[in-house]
Amino acid sequence: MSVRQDKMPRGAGRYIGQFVGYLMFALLIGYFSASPDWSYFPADKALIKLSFTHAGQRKEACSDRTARELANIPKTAKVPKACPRERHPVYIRLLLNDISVFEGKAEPSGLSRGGPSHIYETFQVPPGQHSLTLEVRDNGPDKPGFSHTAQVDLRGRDILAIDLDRSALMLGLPSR
Amino acid sequence: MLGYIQRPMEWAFEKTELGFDVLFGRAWNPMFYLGALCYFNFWIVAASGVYLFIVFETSVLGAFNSIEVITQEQWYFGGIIRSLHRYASDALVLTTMVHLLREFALDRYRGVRWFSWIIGVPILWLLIICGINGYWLVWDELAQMIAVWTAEFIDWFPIFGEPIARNFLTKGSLGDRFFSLLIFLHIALPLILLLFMWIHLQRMNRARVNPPAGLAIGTFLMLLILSLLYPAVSHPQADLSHVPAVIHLDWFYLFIYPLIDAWSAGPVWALLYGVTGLLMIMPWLPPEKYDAPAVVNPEQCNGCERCFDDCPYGAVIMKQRTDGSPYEKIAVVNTASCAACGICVGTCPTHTPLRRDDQITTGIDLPDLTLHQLRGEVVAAVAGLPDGPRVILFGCARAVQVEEMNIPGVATVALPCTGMVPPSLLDFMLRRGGADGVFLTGCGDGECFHRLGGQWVEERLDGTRETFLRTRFSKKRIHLNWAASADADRLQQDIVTFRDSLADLPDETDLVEASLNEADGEGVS
Repeated sequence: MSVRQDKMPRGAGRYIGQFVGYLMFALLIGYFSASPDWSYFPADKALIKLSFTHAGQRKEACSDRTARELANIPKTAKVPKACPRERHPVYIRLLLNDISVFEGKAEPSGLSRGGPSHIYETFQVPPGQHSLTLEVRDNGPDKPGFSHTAQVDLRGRDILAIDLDRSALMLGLPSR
Repeated sequence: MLGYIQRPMEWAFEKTELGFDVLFGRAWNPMFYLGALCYFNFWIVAASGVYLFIVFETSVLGAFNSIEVITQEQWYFGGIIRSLHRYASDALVLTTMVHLLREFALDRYRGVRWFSWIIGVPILWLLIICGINGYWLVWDELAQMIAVWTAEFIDWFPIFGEPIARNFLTKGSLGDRFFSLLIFLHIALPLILLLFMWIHLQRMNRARVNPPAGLAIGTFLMLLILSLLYPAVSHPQADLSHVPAVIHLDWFYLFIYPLIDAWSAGPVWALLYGVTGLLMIMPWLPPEKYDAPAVVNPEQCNGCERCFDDCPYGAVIMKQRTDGSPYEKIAVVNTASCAACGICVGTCPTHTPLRRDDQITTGIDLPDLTLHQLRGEVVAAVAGLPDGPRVILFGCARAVQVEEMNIPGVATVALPCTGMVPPSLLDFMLRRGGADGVFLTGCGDGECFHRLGGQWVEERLDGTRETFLRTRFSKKRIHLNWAASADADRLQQDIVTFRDSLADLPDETDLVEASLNEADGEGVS
């Protein structure tokens, strides 16, 4: 009554057929699990990561509260100085051999713009000896900030991390 | 629009399945066990992962070294376990993707199946995230690339105060606790994945979660031999002061990184959101077609539970009767889950044998094609055939389009599912319907669109599942041949052979009762 048309070959052919099937499966998995290779970074370049967290200066200086103002403040918030939270953005310029490779600003974080500014930028540069200058202005665009200069020797695929610890320059360089 | 994409895909799948039939045989054809293979691969990954968890050290230096030790010094066991873990994970992605594409191609993602499809979307992403998370643990150059690129990719959304990528700025940026977090995620995420895999099947009755033993053994041996011949190895240890030279990328999981490299983060985020959104709305895109769900006739339902047992979607539930009927229970149809396949009609025993009533009323029926209407259609179709062996061909609307076949001496009727045919109707067609033979076909053998219709038909005819076929006619007058759409030519040839073979069967006219129209004028409309 019921015709079940199983096309699978009998005897040795049955095992050869399955071997071929599993072989195809294995080749597919084996190959694409680690191939083709992918190279996303040129061998003749080094990578600079400019990344730091730095709080800009407050936009308005703190002021002393008067006795009358203090009287109107709840006990738990009686702080003698009033400090508006908003901070300046941090203006950053990075020069490589006196040529600007990055110029931008990092806005202060937080809804009240009272948190630190963060930056994370990457640049590909040719290997070799370079003079790096990092200029940071954290008190408005027109007011002087601070700068650091350093000499670095980079090889192909090296990663140079430029960070700040407070205002001090921190360079992360490959160990030789 | 979607049909233009589905049809060539369906054709390609059917041809591939026929090819796999030759290699594996129908019973072990992996294309029919893709979901079960996903589960099987998951269990291999989970089991091998237990050992890897035991030996893994959650520290910056220990992470790489612990994996390196089992790969190099314990290659005969730990190395194989590691390779199995990787290759079974890759096989999991492969089977999942083919499963997804096949369900789309065969239009098994809309209607009552929307739930499984929608739950499949987070499964897809959870699977990829689990894999990425796993590669991160090894802390080699590949892990370094993944860590930095993933962090930069997430940082594209400025939702975190400090960029995550700063955690990978220098060697000193990374702490040992980071690896404790990673291993926690690598246990928690697969568990969540398993939860979704379970939910995925909640609206499927009798879902196949285990492949046949032969296929399972073959798959495991294949992964084992692959692990022995081509063991998984690490890249050099991660070094955050150097960019890795060459990455041997696992394209099953890590395809997204070359995309980010080529397009940048923004367009890739847009692509991910776009693909996810499209997948989520697909079940409701046109063409949408819903047939009216099955209806229970309380006067006829005797609470036998056969429709409850046979429903592929769990759409029939049994409830206590409160209407004073002598029967204890009554079937109730959950209309949201009913696909209107009619399998419940095929198993309902209230019309066994098919009575001569003017109006057939079954315990459960399809409003769009009642059994009464079906009986009228097939009797009328056979009545229009010329003298000679006359065959009634029952087909499935989801398989070979039997109504387009034009074979002399063969009348055709397409059903929502061949499982809708009650065995009593087959006997009726020989006894009173004017047919000399009955031919049943439907979706490819073992691949019923409604999952269980074909299996139930076979078991009913073989007498191993209620409702049984009871007939005094030679069973050579009833023929079954499942055929995928791509196999229509073979089916047509088989129908012709069957029709011609009827002339050689012993004369059984003494069993034939007078036809309805001629003998007692019973309505068959």
